[in-house]
Amino acid sequence: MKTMETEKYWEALTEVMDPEFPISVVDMGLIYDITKIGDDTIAVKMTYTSTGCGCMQWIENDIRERLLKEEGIRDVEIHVVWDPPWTVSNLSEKGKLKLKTWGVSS
Amino acid sequence: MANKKNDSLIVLAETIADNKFITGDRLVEIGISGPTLEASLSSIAMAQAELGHARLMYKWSNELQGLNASKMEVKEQTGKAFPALVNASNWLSLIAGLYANNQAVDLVIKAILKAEPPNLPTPFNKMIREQQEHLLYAKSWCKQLLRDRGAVPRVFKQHLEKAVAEVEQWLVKVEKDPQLQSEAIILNNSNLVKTFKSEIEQLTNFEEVQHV
Repeated sequence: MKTMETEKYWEALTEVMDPEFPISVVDMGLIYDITKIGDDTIAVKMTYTSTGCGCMQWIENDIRERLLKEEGIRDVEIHVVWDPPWTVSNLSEKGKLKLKTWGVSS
Repeated sequence: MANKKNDSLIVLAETIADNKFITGDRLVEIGISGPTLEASLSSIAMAQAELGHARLMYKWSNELQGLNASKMEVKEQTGKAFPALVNASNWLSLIAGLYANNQAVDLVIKAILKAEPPNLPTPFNKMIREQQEHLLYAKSWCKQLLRDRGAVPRVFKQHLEKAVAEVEQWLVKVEKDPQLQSEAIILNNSNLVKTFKSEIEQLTNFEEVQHV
């Protein structure tokens, strides 16, 4: 859920792209929640399009790296969940349009 | 969460994980030289997902044991994979193992979800959806092989019977496990074996059904 406090982190994650398509992890609908813990830690609750996604570590590293650039952030906790499962309905309108441009139906 | 109460559940999780791990491995090894290009491509795609399911189940097992699931590294199975699947060496034995194993896992996972055991995380929704596609694929290949020509139907049936027998033995153990029942993880009326047998019967008698 976006709050005043976490909005800038959601915005920051729009710069982290899915390695397979030039769509951000936010527009892919992979990010379920971002919360701030204490003064310097961010917890990200996220999922993947598939349990067999070969880019999990890559994406998590990118997310971590980007959020650590935010002022005062020293730690990023990433929690991967599978409920609710990702479906195409998780895609944002922007994400759907981009996929369409690339010839992928959603 | 790590205690004696979880022993049966850990064995169950590792059995599923090991079989998924081996399925992923076999799908790559055998699937790469599948009977058609489509079969090879599908095998590799399914292998990736089966390995993903294995990772999910090993992580679940680690969590049940109170281990740090994020530091998990899986290099080999724990020894609980079914021999028919481990020894699968051709397309017929691969499809037989893929179908029998996934059909059984589907029944067990759905039984756990149906039981809604309290205080037990059940992160299987995504896996179940993905597995449905593998089941559909394997089932369709089973039908094709059963109505093939020459020795194929007979040899495939032998592989299927072998795979089914091993999986059925496991289902009997799961269904009768006192710990799983007392913890309400598998309910008394889950009918795992009965449902599995009925699925296999429907699959192998499909010609008769079609002629009715």
